[in-house]
Amino acid sequence: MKSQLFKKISIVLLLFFFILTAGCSGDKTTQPEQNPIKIGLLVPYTGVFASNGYDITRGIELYFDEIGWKAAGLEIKLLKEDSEMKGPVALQKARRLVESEQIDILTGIVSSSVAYALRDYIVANEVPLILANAGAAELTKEQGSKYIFRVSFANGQYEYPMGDYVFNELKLGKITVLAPDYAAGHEKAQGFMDGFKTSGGEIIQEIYPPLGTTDFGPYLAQINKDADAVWVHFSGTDSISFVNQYAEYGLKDKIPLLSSGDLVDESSLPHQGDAPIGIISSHHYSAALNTPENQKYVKDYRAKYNDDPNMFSEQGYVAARVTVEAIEALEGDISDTEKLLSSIKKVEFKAPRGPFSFDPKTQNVIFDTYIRKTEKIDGKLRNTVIHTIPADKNPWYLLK
Amino acid sequence: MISILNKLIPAETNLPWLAKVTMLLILVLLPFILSSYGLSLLTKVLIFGLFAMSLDILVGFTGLVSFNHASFFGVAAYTVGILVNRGFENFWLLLIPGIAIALLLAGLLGLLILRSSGAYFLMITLAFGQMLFALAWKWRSLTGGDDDGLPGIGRPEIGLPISMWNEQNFYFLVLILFIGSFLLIKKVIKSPFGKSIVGTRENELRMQSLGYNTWLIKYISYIIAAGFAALAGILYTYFNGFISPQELDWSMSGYILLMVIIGGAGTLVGPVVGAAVIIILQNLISTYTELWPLFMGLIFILCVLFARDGIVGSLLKLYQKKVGEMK
Repeated sequence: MKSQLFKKISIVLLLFFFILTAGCSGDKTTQPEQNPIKIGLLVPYTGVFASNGYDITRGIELYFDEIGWKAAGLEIKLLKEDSEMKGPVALQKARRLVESEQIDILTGIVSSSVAYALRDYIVANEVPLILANAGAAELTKEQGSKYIFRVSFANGQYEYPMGDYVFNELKLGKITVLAPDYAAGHEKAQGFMDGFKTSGGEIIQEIYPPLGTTDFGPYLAQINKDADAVWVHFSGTDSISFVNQYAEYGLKDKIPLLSSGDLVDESSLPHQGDAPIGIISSHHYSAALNTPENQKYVKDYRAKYNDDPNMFSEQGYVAARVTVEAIEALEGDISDTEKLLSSIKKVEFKAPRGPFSFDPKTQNVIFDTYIRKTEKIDGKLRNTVIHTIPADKNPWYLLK
Repeated sequence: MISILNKLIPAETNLPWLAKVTMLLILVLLPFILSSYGLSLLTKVLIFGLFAMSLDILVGFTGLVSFNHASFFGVAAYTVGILVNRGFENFWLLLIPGIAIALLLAGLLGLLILRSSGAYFLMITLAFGQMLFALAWKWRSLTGGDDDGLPGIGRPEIGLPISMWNEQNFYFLVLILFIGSFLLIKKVIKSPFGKSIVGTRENELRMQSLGYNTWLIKYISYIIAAGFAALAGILYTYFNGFISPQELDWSMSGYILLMVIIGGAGTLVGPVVGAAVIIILQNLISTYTELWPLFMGLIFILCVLFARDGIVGSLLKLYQKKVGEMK
């Protein structure tokens, strides 16, 4: 009788063993006749920044639809994974994509902390990484690598030139700054303040509410009434609460509001009522841009998703196009990683946002900065571009 | 939940030794069969298995549902990470400060936390856990804060001419420490002290009237659990090559608690099985759909409905019933 029991236990153990191996060994057995190009996409699909993850995915899929999911005649396979905005989780998913799926290029990455977590692994395994959002400036400076490219922005890149515009064009001299109390919030605020002070302006106050604040009342009450204007950076749900409460507290008509483009991104506008009208912001994109590339992009995007594109979807779209153009320049032969890297570096085209290229030294994106004003046209809010600062006029690129 | 956990679960069942050998053989042979990704998942399963086992000492045997177990995991991880970044290399020597700090912390927190019990115990552990999380998040100069974390830790130097960058070697290091810890925890549980822990869980008043200092028993078990969690934290740091405050968050404590409950609290093997099931399923399902939390939730509901004592707990009950019938 005892041996029968042992049999049963062994069967259970063996079953467990099979489940384990089935789950882990990946698809070693299936060999397609022609190797497709595998692109890994790692973005959050759960958590606070899930909507950014979905927007990036939409942008990427829109571009691949446009070219029929083929680059240089090879089929493109997009492998999506949820980073959950957690470094260790993202690393585990990256391991699967790189070791089990053997992706050729990795893209996505919304949060800088996830980018830092992946950095060493990506470099050690020689996988080209195209950042589609993560903005920590270090990632393309001291922590940079020939494997890391960025199509989105570095924190400060579009905030810094805003400082000069505010002081010299808007003629505002004393500013109060508000930003969320976490690394990116501080870095973006610093970018604006550095640019503003270099031009001769004075920062009279800095306030850093915690990330995810729902009631900004105590912080709004602190704002110095001598300020000529308030500059803020908030994104996601923070941007919605802040803009609405700024108007509710009656500050909207007293002190003009200036911001990073994130505050009035197209993803936030539908939830902000009329409160954002009149906000002046700087950004690398606006869905209201009047270029043929952008008009086509906005039209296609609306047709596919019945929604307006925003900065994240545009970044995804650009990231997808960069990979495809790099692969086509090599006529589909991406076996040599070094060649692939230099091919990515050379990619240049007219993106929805305007001229796009990489800085050959840092591999960070080069773009024109737009100063936009939020207006209501035909019953709909939009960010009208009122001034363009071309890349070669942006002093940020000259900073060390 | 606590009443469910406190239900008598067979703590010790003698499996035939052949089954034990089969299990060990599987663990030793797996790295030669698995892909490198599969191996990294298995390594993670063992590390979290060890972590969940250490929590099982508290949840399963002592009957304390702690919500700050990640604190010890994270504090040890940070200690070793910071020391590695300052140039200390020897893995075995680094284990000492890593585990010692966690033990010290548990000794201090235990004095405050063990004054309460039940739901209050859960709340106060949650509070202290989040305080430590906030410390790791804010103390940028030491921990790297929320954004950068502590990167570039690399793999352990064990003083042998074996490179731990080789995934198989690292796996075997983890496996050896895992088995060692497993045997050690088992020894503790089987010892008279272990019996007194279970006695305290079952009827604290009776234990007190028998002359046991039940507070001290709980205090010691809290510290022991912290020590093994610290070892898991150190291994996890080396496994990832970096640490972020996430490792100290209450969600990490909850994640581990889930493993213990799904696998079967008070069975020691159960939490390891729970870790395997959760980690593998999570990675498997999320490759197919972005809606993976939905399917994980369904699986948890099924577990609660049909396997109240966890996977291993339920299987053991079934097994004992069978044995009883045969006799």
